[in-house]
Amino acid sequence: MRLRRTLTTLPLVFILYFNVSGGPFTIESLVAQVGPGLGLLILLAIPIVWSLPETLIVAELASMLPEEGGYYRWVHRAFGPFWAFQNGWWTWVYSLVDMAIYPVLFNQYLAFFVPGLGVVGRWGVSLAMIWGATAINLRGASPVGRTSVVSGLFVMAGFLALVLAALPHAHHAPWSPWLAPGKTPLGALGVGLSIALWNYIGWDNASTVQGEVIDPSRTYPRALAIALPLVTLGYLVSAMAAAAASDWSTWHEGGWPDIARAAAGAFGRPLAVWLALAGMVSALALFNALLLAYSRIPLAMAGDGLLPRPLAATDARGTPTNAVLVSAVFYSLFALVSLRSCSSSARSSRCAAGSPPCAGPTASRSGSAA
Amino acid sequence: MTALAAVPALALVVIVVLSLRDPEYGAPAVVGALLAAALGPPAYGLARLRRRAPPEP
Repeated sequence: MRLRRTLTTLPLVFILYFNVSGGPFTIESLVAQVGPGLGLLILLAIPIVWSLPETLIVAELASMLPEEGGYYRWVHRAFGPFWAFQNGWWTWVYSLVDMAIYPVLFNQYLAFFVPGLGVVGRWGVSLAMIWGATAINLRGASPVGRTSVVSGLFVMAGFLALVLAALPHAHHAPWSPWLAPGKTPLGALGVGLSIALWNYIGWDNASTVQGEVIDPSRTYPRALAIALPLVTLGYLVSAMAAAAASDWSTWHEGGWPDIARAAAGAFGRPLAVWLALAGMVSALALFNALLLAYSRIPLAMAGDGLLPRPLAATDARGTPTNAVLVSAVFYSLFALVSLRSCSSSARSSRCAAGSPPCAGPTASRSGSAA
Repeated sequence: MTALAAVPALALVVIVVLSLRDPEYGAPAVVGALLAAALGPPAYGLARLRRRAPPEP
């Protein structure tokens, strides 16, 4: 295994951005289901009680153990090879369903321009998206980083434009009403937490590429410190401005173009086009950045002899070609699975796999570290 | 520190309980995740056996 260190802070910030968020897409679903008041409160509270502690833990581990394989290596060091294998296995399993979501999201926003695409057409588009991202990944970590920067700026600029266009049309407090009609506070909290956690997890994902980051002990924590506020503000500011200028009860999943038309006055139509394009760009960039992160797990496991050795092979650019290609083949098969079933199962297994890395520092400090 | 490390596990329990309340997608997702996790130890056993096997001539 021969790797090349090419990633600097800015590309890593946007790789993290697309490993966690990808923009405020799905936030519209959160607000629609629980109501704007509780939705905004959850979007403000989760980064404080969940993401901030998680990023601090991940930053410390990334700084102490800046190795390719990231959290798989941390679990190995803290708990030994059995639990490291379990962590790698769970990651691989949830990545199958997680990665099936993004082609569905891509098709959801493509329908703005090409409505009524059939099942075969949608699967063809999904395959084109998956293998487009795979082609970028095969060129190495640096092109993935550059693609993430350009995509991230395009998505954020679209939502910034929406916020600026919506503010003059704000006609009520964005947190009103507090709760969606017919919802109990506990039931709404349950649904809201479930969606919001989904939008705020994954800060350790990109740790798997630390062997390809320049000065990783400093760069990863620095990138986390920039990416967390970027993600949080992206959710909060977009949702607040849009909720103040439109009727939240008409919001629906994949509905940002419609929200733009309702909230942005004369700019509504061009912004709807921009946000539909941004949805497609975001889905592609999410898949691209996550393929980079997930493919390094079979690479690390194969390096330990727990998966076939060819998966640990790297090309002249330092890209684990076989690990990327094998991952893309499996993701192509799972692209047939529907969005909602994917997100439910991905959330369950993602959290299960996320627990051991978070317990890692405790185990390491209690003397179990090698 | 142990309490802090328990927070993700607590969140996992909360999410599993919430998921079980959704019979259409949540409960099958939890069952699927548990089945996949249960396959981990046998997969580890297989991986160890394969690693111990002598290389082909």
